[in-house]
Amino acid sequence: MAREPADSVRLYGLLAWTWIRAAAQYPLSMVLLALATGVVTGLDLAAIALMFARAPRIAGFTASEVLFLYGTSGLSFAIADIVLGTAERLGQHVRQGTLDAMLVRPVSPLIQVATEDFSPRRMGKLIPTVTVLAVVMPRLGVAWTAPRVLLVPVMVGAGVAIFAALWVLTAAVQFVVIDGHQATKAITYGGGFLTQYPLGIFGRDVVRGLTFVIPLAFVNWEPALYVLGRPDPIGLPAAFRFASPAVAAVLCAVAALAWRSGLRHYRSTGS
Amino acid sequence: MIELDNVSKSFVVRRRTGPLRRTRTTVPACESISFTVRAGEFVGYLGPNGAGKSTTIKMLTGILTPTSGSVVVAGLDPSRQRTTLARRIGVVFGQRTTLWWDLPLRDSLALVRHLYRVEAGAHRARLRTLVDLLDLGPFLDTPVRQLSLGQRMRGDLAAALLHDPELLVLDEPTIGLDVVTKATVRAFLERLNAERGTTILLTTHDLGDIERLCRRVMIIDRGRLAYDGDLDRLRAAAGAERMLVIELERPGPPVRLPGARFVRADGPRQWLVIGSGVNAASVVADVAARYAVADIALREPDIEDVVARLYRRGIPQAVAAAEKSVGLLGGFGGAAGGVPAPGRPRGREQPESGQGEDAGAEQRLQPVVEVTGRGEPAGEGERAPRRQEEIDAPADERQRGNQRDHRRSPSRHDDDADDEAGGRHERERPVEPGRVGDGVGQRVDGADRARRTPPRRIGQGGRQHDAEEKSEGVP
Repeated sequence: MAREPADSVRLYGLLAWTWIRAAAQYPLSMVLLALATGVVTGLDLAAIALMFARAPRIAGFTASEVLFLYGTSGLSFAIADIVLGTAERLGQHVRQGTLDAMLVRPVSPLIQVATEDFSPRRMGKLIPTVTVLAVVMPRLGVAWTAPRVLLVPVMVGAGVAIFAALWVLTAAVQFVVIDGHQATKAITYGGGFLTQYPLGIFGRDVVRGLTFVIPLAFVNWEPALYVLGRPDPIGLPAAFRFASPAVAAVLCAVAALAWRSGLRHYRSTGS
Repeated sequence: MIELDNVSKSFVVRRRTGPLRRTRTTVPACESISFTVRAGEFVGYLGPNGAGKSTTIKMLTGILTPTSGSVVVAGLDPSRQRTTLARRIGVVFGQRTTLWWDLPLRDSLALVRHLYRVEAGAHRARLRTLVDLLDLGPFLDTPVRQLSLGQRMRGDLAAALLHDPELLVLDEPTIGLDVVTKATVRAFLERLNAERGTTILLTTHDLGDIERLCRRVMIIDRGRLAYDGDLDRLRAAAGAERMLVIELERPGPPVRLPGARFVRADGPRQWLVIGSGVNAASVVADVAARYAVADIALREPDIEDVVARLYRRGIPQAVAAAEKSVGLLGGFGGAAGGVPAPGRPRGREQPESGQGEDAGAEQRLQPVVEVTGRGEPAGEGERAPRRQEEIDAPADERQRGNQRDHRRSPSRHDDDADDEAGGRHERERPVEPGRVGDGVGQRVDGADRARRTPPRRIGQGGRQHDAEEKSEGVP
């Protein structure tokens, strides 16, 4: 991560644009892939619909409320995935030695890995979540006070930061555990899946773990409790509802440290 | 431009020692390397596979952090200021591209301009020059993955130079290239160094690269800098000699020629050593004039042989041996009189070095024989046929060192990749003591010697070498 954030953004845009141009050589394939990505992402919706066909409420949450959780988590995850998803390929680059080539360029290897194969089809992941949020939010039946309205973009932003930090952390792990890419998927994709549901359906210890160990509860669960006006099933302090940005900041700092340390201990392959 | 002070790098390797047990061993890749490269120099950096060349390059470019010691490149600390340094140096890896695989070359080069923030006008002018010099025009719009190796290498060179770096680091840039492309690349590098004053550090296995380009050579072996000086003195110090292989029409008595020394015969085929001060062309002409020759080939001392000699004896002995043989050989190798003053004159520590110069060649070989014993038995089976094949190849092809190197390089490449994947032990490519320097396939180490004593052993240096000079006399 470069010292000047503006410069990083500029380089990210530049590299992403170059990849988009390369992908745009096959426009039909690009559009179809975007649609396919949208459909696959939307399959989770079908699972939720199935559950509500059996029961009117899940852990005390109505269908709209669950869909709100699905939408916020899904949006955060999709944005983080679009921006940093290919970071999970780091292990591959380490193994093939292509990371060396990235390291001799004046651009952070994280930006280079993340923009790799950047293509508009990644945007397909946004389609189902944005649609769901737009449909569900007016139907939640909550009083949309100013704090509630404000908290929605904040929780999505914090969620993006938390997922992004997780992507970077899992990439940093791959400096050490080169074949760790499958295991790290459990945390990133698994986290994205978990947070689509009210965490109240899981046991207390699971929720505690998701709060204090891997802070996925702060992606949407804690702030959503406030937005939906519900008490915390495991009785955590009210301040936790608003702690998402702070948690996200801490997690990002940890991820940055891990990345740097990983880079410093990078062994490289022979040549 | 480059300053390395006492730089070491070691890796921790986990080795499986049982079903569940793993032991961690620390493997040194570079040990106390110190050297300085001044601006404008063109330096060749050599060493056998796994010696630590790439590790050094990676520390210079900031890819790897040294375990200890200090590295300063262009006034910067590479591992801490990697991105800043990246703007000021160019790096080319012969075995992997730094271009974007799926983008056309033109786009890759345009992207480089933005990444390095090169001003548009300067970029256009430089690109035009590079396209011209490296003949990139015909494939500028081809995606990099579709380029041939030679095209890709030229593209890589262009990409590394678009920001006009002060220092160009090349890691085996001519590996696997054909003769023509190699010549283009070499001529280009020569010009770059001479005209723009770009400092160039080049690692290679190709003696041709070094001979054509480098005024200064550094040799690294087993992670230590074994030699730092110019190429001629290195050759003289190592006692490496050019070998003339003559195939006579029919078997005859040993060929006697001024400036060449008979080594051995095998049927109609004879091996002669040409002294380092002697013009090889005149010797070849002499042979052709005086004998009925069916075929003739001249073999340059391989850089590997030179390196392997240093590996075996360490530099101080090599220098001492060179001095002695110069004295005895008289007319041979006048140039060798100037004994090199190596910057860091130690090879690896040799346990027997305490025995001093009086130790016999036999004893000096001992530790190497041990190393060999751990690996394959001296690799005789593997390497001898290759040499034989070279001998059988048509003369004109043999005389072109380029082509030979080209043919051999892929296997080196593979060796390398395997080597580094494994630990240090696999890496220690056994150096066959007897083969060293003679280039013909004899072996001299203990057990084999008794069984198959060649008519004459050459190029072992040291006392045995000298003794033979005495007994057989010099033409």
